[in-house]
Amino acid sequence: MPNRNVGSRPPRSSKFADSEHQNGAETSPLRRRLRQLYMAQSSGAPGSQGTAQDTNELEIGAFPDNIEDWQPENWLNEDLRTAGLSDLASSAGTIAASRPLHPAGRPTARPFLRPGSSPEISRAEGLTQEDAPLKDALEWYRESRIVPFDVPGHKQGRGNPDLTEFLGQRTMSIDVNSMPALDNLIHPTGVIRDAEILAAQAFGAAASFFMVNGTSAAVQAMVMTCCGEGDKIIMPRNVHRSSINSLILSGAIPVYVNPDTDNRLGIPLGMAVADVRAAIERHPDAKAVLVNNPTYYGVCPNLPAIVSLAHANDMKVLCDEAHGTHLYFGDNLPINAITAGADMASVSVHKTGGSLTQSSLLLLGDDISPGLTRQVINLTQTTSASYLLMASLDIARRNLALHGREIFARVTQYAQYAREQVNEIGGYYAIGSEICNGDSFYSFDTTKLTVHTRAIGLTGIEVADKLRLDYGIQVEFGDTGNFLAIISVGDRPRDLERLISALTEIRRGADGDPADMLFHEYIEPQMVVPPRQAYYTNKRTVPLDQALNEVAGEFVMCYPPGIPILAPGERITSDALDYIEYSRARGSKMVGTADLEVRNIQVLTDK
Amino acid sequence: MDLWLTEFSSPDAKFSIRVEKQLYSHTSDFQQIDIFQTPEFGRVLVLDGIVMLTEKDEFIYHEMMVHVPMAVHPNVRTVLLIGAGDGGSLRELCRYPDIECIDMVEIDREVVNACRRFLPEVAASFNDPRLNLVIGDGISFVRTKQDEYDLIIVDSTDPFGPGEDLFTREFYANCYNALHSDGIMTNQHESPYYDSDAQIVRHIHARTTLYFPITKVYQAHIPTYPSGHWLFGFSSRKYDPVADLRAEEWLARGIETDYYNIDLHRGCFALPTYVQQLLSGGDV
Ligand SMILES: Cc1ncc(COP(=O)(O)O)c(C=O)c1O
Repeated sequence: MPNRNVGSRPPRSSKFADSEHQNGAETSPLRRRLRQLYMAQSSGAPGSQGTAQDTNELEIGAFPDNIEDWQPENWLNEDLRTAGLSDLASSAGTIAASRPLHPAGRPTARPFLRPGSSPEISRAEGLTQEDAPLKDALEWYRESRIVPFDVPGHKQGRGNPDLTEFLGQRTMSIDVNSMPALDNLIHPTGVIRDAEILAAQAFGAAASFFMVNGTSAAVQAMVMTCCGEGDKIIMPRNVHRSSINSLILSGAIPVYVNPDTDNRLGIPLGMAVADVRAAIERHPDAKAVLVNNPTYYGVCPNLPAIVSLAHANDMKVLCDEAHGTHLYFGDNLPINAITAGADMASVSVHKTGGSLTQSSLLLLGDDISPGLTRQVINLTQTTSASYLLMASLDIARRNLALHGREIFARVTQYAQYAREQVNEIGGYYAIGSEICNGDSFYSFDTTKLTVHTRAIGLTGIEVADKLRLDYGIQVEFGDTGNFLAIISVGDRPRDLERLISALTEIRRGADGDPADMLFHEYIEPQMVVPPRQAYYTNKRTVPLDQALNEVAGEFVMCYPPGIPILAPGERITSDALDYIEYSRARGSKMVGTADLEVRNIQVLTDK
Repeated sequence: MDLWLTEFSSPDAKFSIRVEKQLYSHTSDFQQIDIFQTPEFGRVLVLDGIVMLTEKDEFIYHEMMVHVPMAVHPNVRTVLLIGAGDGGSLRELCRYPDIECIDMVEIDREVVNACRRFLPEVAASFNDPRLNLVIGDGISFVRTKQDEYDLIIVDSTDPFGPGEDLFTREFYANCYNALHSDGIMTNQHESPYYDSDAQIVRHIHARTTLYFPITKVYQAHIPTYPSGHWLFGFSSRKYDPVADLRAEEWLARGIETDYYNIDLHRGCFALPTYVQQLLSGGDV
């Protein structure tokens, strides 16, 4: 049952025990209420502000029932100690003693306590996956009609009528600032913390962090948590730009493992286990291994094998699961990072999980300190995190936890249907599990509709453009040989029918001659200097077509997928230049350079 | 009791029919289906709140959908009927004995069932042996057909909701391919009058014109559709609907009609100036 307990009450502060690992402890509803009084109304820090006077008012206004029964001194401390929180117990006890609370005896009934929790019930008492604490808090905020003399200045939309008309009053009224009752993402102790704990539980992780700057920020936080200046990190080169940016930020040195390539499709796969082993043997001092799970195309590597290799050599495993949210909820899908034992995972809930664009989750395994991770995140994170984004994560998490299984069973079925139909058209090849190879393409994410188009004589870019321009159908991206359609929680069979019909029609008009089409998606990098060093070296700008053999000072990539063709510090080879021109000529969108036309590139002056 | 069924023609104009009683209400997998008894129009079929047909004026729509192409094509043997779950178009088609086979693809079985039960005059021909009724998605059915039909009739609901796909470019392209080289497609073409409908009229025309060298629009007056002014599309690779009209042959069939006649056939392609202008400016 969703929590309807909002009305005029302030939202609870955190219902969970205050341990860094965010799990396990039981709390009582009474302790919860007390914590509400101390924390929600006093900027989160017990005893930091609340005077007897103002808390007393709050009690009367906010807790019209039950409050008479409270007898705080003994049971409060006992509860907190049971929860393993003696620090908090003593501080809370101190405040409790100084507060005017009602003298009647301690009530014995604990109506919400549910020991021996089933999977549906959150490990911490009180909240279950059916709750959406952040949503409830915002609902409370909306109904409380608080007079805002704080930011944001649009003041629940009144200050920007055009925007309010465009987005709707309901949306604007919860675009709020981190007031105490709504917690604060940079230091969560209340409802955000609850929401994060529920997310951690839903994903089976030891802890989770809501990210409001996309999975890019999550990927950077993973690398910066595990690697410092000069530390080595083993990774494939077909990573998203955020991974390489994280090398610039952290100063970590990449040890690139060439991903395997599928010769028929020309797409890069994952890292083969033997190649990871070889890299680990050559670089036993590396701190971490970074893995895509899955790639944009749906390719998953042998993650359990990579994890055990890495852990045996004291290396952390970091997973970019930007395209892997559903792996945590669906059946018969490739293994997810946390289950495989990875240490950290960046999950784009916005991509396949239904939250708003830009919202994302960072998940932790057991051996990473959440405190440290939060400090790293806070280096670059806004202090004004959007409640729209965070609430969308909270609600998406609830939906996934409660219905994820059915949702992804349906998504898989849609994708399977689309694959069969596309393959029946002829000419196209919609990739399926049949091309897994037991290693670098260990398993295929069957929710992905990755279609190889070269045999009909069109690049994936061209097919994607036709779909958009002629048929009003937008796919995720096209590259030289494939396009990718994302199938997710929001799809309907009839939209698939449109896609298939349009592909049928495009096929009729295509000449079917794959001659002189470029045949690979992966260009082997030649790193001359590490990314961070390249980033801070002096540069000059040269026309791209005269840049052969120079060392790149900036990125060049097609977006999407956003996998760099050239990264800072890499030799500009003729392969790379050919690929750029070929993709551009077929309509790929090039990005990365300071020159928005991507005709010029900065190269290092002293290489 | 003063019970009215109201449909908005635009956000600022509405059309209401007094209701005697509700005969049927059901939410299918695709849409909300309601049937009302009304004093003015008899029984009224309403899908997702939009009037689809009334007993009193359905003949106009169905006659125009079917007899116009049937009076042009000399030799219709195979017909594909898309949508049309109420059976009205089917009823008109079944009046031609030389049609051999009618494939009808309707997405919502419940519409067929409800009409057979409550609108037997409309759903009169579901027992015709030439009918092959397929419950499924029109867009997916037609995609697999190549050079199979003399006539395709796209009798869809409005382009919001389950009928949306039947207004897309890919759908028309696949219809073109499913037709014989001298085949004809007629389609429900919405109303030119209210703004949002008019935009759709443009799109439909632009999209069908992409594939068919001959694409003409004709009109009829249907009192219970928004504005009462309704359009139909006639598309073919070979036949011009007026120049190639086979008036004598059609008259010789002796089919009795209440709206359609040969004079009207010639006249209904003459469009008001504002409609001509509307059709000339559409985006795909
Ligand atoms: C593999 C991969 N990692 C990370 C990201 C970054 O995610 P976001 O756009 O949410 O920052 C993306 C996004 O396209 C991606 O494809």
